[in-house]
Amino acid sequence: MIQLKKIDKYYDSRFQRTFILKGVNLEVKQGEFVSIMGPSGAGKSTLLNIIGLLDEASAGEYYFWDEPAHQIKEKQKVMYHRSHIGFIFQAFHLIDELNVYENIETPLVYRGVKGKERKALVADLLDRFNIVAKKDLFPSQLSGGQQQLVAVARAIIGSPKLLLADEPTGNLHSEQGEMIMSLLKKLNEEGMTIIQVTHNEKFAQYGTRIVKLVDGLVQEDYPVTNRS
Amino acid sequence: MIRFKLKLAIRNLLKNKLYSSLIIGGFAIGFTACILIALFYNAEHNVNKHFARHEQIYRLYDAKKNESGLDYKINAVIAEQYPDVEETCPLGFSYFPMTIKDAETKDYARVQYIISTNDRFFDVFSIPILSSLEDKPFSQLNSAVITESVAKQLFGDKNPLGRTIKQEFFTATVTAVMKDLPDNSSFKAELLLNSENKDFQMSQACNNGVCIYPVEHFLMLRNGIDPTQFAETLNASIGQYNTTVDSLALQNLSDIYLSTMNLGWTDEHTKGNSKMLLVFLAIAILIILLSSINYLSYTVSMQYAKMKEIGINKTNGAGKMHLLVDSFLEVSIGIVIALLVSVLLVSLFLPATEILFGKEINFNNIDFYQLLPVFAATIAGIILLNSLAPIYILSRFNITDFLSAGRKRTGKQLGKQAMLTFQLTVSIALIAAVMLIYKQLQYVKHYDLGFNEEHLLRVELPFLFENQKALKDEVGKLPFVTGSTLSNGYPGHINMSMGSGVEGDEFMVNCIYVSDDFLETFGLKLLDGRNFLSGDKDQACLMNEAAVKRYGWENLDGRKYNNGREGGYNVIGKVNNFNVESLHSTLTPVALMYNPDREFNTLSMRLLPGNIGEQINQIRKVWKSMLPTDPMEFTFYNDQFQAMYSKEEKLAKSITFFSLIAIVLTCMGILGQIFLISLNRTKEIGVRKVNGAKISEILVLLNKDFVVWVVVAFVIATPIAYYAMNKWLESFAYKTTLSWWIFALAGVLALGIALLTVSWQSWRAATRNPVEALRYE
Repeated sequence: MIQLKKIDKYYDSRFQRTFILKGVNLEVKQGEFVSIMGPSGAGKSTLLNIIGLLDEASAGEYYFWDEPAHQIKEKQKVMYHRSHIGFIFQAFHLIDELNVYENIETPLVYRGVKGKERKALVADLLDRFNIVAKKDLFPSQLSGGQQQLVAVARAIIGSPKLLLADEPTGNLHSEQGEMIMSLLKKLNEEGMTIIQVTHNEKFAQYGTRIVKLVDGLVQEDYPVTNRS
Repeated sequence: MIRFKLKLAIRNLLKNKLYSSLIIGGFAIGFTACILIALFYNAEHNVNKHFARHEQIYRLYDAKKNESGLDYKINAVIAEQYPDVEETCPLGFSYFPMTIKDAETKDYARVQYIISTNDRFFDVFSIPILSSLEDKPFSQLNSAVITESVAKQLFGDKNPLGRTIKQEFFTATVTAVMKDLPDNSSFKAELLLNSENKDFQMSQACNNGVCIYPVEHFLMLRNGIDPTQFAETLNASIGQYNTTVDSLALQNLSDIYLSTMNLGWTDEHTKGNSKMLLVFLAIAILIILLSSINYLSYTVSMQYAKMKEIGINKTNGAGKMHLLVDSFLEVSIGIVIALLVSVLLVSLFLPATEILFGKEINFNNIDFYQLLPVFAATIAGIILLNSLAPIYILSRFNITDFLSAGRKRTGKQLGKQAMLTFQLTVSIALIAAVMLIYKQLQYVKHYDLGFNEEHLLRVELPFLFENQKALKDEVGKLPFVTGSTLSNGYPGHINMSMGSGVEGDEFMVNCIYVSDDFLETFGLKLLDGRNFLSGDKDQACLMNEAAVKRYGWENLDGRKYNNGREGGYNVIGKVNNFNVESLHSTLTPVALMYNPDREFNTLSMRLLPGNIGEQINQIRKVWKSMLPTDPMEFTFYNDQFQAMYSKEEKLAKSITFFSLIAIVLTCMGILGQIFLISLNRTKEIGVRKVNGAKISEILVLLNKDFVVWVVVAFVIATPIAYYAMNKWLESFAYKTTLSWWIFALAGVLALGIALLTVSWQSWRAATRNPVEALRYE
């Protein structure tokens, strides 16, 4: 599904070139749940952003469903964001001015889904996530775990093929974190491909495979043996 | 989808209620001012356009002499000899207030606008006759046509037709009543007199023994006739019929009001001021610029604040179009709200436009077909301009910037600084202008007129009133009257001027016929020679300094004023200069001629300070005993001179009003800037405070930039304001000085206003707990 070949990401300053990522090769198959781990500054988030088409690699090739994603245009990127990729962030990134219902609805609006259908889809998801009672609340009225729950709902409402999570539990305490992680695991079991960046060894065990990144290089890449 | 976006836009506006309402309110105020000015401007430009066939109506004038008062006889010639002219009518004006009386009931009405004309008047100007005795409005030689409102005033509910009206100069029969002229006409009429009657001619001009009745001629050309060509035809052949004119030109009716040509005294009275209109237009444009700038910096800052939201929307699949539509909606909503508020404000302010512009704006006088496209284009322009901001931001940043650094701003925001400096420049220039206008007004108002105008009362005397002297004596007996004198003409209204009587050095001398006690009553000083003695009757005159200087006399021995009568007048003394006109014009030579037995039109009295109402009542009692049927019209000289500056006073008031709006808008701009700056520098402030910066140091840090901008604005504003003000002062003969302190004070005021505005916000930023500030990171 995803194929990265010799991906470099660097910034040029006056006298030197600082590499964030250097020659990263990675292949992710459909249905995998990959946890990218590594110390701060290893380039985890940058890698995720490149995979999510939020950022561009400085060099290398990136194939998304065998399409050369390193060559596509802005407009196509928007199409990918609309239909193929969902995002979850550490800071939730909900829109403060919209309530729960509207936040979840947003991607459908941009996709041009009709109002009735939107209603049905959102209601379905609210029900599934058990947050029907909270649908009229605004992000500031929710706990962190609930906010992330809404963010997950928003990320998957368009039934994307790929879910990218940038430290989804980073701002949550452990109980809430576990709740989110088991939700992600469940989604994965239902067939969704997930790539997450995490610091948490324990939460990495929810996935099927761990990729360790150090100083922009893939150091280790191994499957999870006893998945929790 | 639109509903979804509208909801988002409105919530975004509500998020920062104070800031949004400040900006939208400011925009509404600015827009209100502009709408008012636009309405006024449009009304002024549509003067005379209500006449149904104004496009075909032209006024005849002499291009060589720059005069529109031409021989009355030309009218008949044109009507008969030139088939290109459909209709033509003469208009002789008198704008001197008069009292007309109903001959039977002795009821009276005061009318000011009298025109002598003929039957064609009503065809040319398409003015409906409400009722008339016969077919034609002027059916008799001494016919008069009065307007509806004069009829009501004079005759009440009685039928005015066939009644006789009297005035000192004429007696006429009302043969028709016409509708009132619309108020946005360049000429006014309350009473029309039949011009066929020689007695109804308003003025006479003689030159080398040939006398003509100068009147204005209005021609209605046939459809499709070119006015310039017609004027040529006219000049080529008019000589056969009339020799007084040879260089005629035509001026369209609708051009008269705002034309820069001054073709006669009626123009001075009734014409609009195109310069003033330009000033107002400039102010309107400045105000709309100021408020647009505020709005623009508001939208820009909103976009920055929304960066996170933009990022989220982008990851959720929003295309550029979506984001642009979002911003566009948000911008438009704010502007539409501002517009609605301003429409409300305009409807509230409309009755007060009289105070602002000296003329109430009437919707009937406004051509909305001209105005609406201008409004629509302005609003569209502002919305477009404001939509540029989001385009700029969207193109400049990358999606990860949006998500990670919601408040990162790079580089010095030169654009914003330039905009703020512009606002400050406008404010400083306007403050200076307002101060100078007031300084000049104070100067002319308190300028020594040369005579003591305080407690000096003037009463108009009716024509053919024989007991003038008795009235003067009776009034003089009242205990509070310290002096009284009769005169023909008075300071402020000269009705006679004669040539200098020196061959080879012709200049005009303003003449006032006076009776006894003139110098004493007016408080004029005799500088040389002696006052009038009874033997001087009709033989002697006094001259003012300006006259003596103009003649070049070193002493008065045996000097004569050789004009007005056989043998001239002996100049027996010299008095100090005094103003007989407003201070728009310089001191002119004045001669006071002594003849206590002639007829006068004015009785002037000096009163002791006291209860004015009671004093007037007593004078009126004396008046009634001698003139039971005539109303007493009185004026105080100081009021009369103050009234000469009413135009300037109105200008001062309205410019002050609009300047205040401009300054308030600038304050809002400054407030918006400091709001953003302190938000941007929250972290910096926090870090500095943690490292031991004092509140005062933070304040200096935040306020320093504004001081620099005020200084830059001051440097730009001063020469502009100086130039403009110098131009304005040129219209005064007596001008105050353009002191340096006006500009300095304007700069200091602007600085003070700016710092006060800034400090309100920067104090808040500086005193905030640094922990709070640093928590953002």
